[in-house]
Amino acid sequence: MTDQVRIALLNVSKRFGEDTAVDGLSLAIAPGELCVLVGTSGCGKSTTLRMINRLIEHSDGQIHIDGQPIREINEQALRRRIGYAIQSTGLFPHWTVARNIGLVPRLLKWPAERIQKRTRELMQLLGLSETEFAGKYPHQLSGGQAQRVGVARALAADPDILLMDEPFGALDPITRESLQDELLRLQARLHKTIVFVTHDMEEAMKLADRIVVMDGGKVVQQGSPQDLLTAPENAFVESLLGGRDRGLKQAGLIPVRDVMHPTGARRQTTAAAVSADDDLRGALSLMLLHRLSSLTVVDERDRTVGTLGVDDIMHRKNLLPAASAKPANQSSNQSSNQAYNQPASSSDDGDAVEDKAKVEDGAEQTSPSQDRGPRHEE
Amino acid sequence: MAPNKRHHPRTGGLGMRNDPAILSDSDLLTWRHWSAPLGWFAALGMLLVAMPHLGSLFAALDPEAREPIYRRDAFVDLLANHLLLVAGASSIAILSGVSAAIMVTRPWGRDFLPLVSQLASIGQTFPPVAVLALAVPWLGFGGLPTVVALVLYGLLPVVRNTLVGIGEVDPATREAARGMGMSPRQVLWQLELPLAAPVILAGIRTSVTVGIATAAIGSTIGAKTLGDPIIAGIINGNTAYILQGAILIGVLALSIDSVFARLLPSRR
Ligand SMILES: Nc1ncnc2c1ncn2[C@@H]1O[C@H](COP(=O)(O)OP(=O)(O)OP(=O)(O)O)[C@@H](O)[C@H]1O
Ligand SMILES: [Mg+2]
Repeated sequence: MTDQVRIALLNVSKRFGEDTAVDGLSLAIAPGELCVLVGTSGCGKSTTLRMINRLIEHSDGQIHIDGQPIREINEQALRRRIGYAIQSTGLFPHWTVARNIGLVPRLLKWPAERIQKRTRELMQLLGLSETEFAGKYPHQLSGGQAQRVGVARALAADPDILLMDEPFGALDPITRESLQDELLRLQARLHKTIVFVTHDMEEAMKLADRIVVMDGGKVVQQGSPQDLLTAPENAFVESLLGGRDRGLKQAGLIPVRDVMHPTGARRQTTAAAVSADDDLRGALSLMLLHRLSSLTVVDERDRTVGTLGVDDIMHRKNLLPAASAKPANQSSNQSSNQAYNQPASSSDDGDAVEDKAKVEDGAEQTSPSQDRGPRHEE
Repeated sequence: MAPNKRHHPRTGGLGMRNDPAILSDSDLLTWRHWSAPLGWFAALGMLLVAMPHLGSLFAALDPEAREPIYRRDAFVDLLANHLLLVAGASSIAILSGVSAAIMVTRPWGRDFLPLVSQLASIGQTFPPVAVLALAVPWLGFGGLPTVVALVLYGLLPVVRNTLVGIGEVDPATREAARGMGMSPRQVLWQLELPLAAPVILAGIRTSVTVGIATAAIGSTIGAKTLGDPIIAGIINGNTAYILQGAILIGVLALSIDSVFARLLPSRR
């Protein structure tokens, strides 16, 4: 992206007695980037994360935030401007949900009304009904709800940086997936700089702008999910990527909308339909399931917007490099420009263009209600 | 007052700890909630008033006694002084015990943890009577050596329970608190102490109730306590005196204990 760097680690090491947990790690994370650290257990992911907010002091090297060495910043002041969410949530069991969320603002001595307003905003942002949850205690919440509260608490003082240590690790796959979607939705609006730790490669693929694969306290490879899938550095990265499922995982990164043939709304081609927001992996799975070589593509209101054939998937040119970490945004910008540039004038397939533009709009703002939500950019 | 109880801080109302909503503040303020302690204190008051007039009853219990009712001091005065001694000793034991336990759970004081818990154990195993005997040459007769003996005896439950209570705080919660930018002092006051409060209070409860029973031995070295009638009864072979002292001490201990019992489950 830019040459701006929000978090910089230069040759950072951490030793616990004889053991070296992190070994000469260098990393530069740009503002607004979602950087995911992956690796097997004990490879130093959590240690790296905790060094950034000084829960653990690094033994060697330098860590800078916005160009300032973190050792020069007061510990507590530093942590209050960095959000922190962990797997076990660490919610205060004797405090209500609302009080837990307002923790950092209270530490920062915000006035009471402002804390209350902020707490309300955040509960709304994370889909926690205020009447239902504000007065509840953590032990009265489900795992997913508690994790939402944990994320809300991390966001409370509107920090630029968010550190998340396996925040969704303890959740069932469905809840986990919905929270991942939520995080992507939030990130699309808030543009935080996020360092996210997981040992789940699928999760990393789904969330990351950049994946940093660690092993034995060192970086093995870093790059976009596409980069990793295209050219895994070594057998270790390859095995993390799922070995022979690599092709499918790669297909999982490409939205159907980028590959389909747009058509008029009335043309019904096949029995099975795939959503334009789904990825090629889902589409392939449907094809296998229904033994079809092409599918109807529908938008979120179930209107037909295109078709997708096996050939489209196989013969698609430059499938890898162009479709970067954020294919959805890029293509939506292009096509909506297109739609605006050539208004109703093109008579032959105006129908299709219009429809497509609608689909993309829908993709850009996942739900219209978001717009009513609070804005967090200062 | 089974001695083994003090090593199990989870007894009493502590099962409620994981459900802070089970007893709200408004419950604490109702008459019904406080009916048991009120009953005990009413019984104590009635005993104090009625005891001097129960001569014929005690005479029947112990026909050989020349004087059936202890009259050297009013029971009210003995009770007041008894309470004063216990209150003084308990305040010292609680303050020093809780602060010592807090200090040795800080990163900088961790080295002293074994020392402090051992000292507290020794204080408890050392018989209070022996402490009295040893303290008199230094401190003279009366209340002061009694307070010293009570403090030493009452320290262990407070120290041990404070250590347990703070130790039970989930490390992840503590890490989150630090990670959010709470200072060590904020972590202590807003997280550790509130969460440990029920366990600490249980320790204080044990310490105080045991102290009320133990304070009676102060009478052997001239402190005015409810032990006076008991000592006098032993010396004169007057069972009625012993009964009067013992009943009052027992009812007093139960009254105070019932207050703690009511405070405990409600602590957040
Ligand atoms: N406080 C500590 N004291 C001593 N050793 C530690 C400490 N914290 C971590 N380690 C060691 O450092 C290494 C890296 O630990 P870390 O928690 O960073 O791993 P991780 O990648 O987060 O693993 P996981 O996926 O299991 O959470 C491990 O070998 C661990 O034993
Ligand atoms: Mg970890």
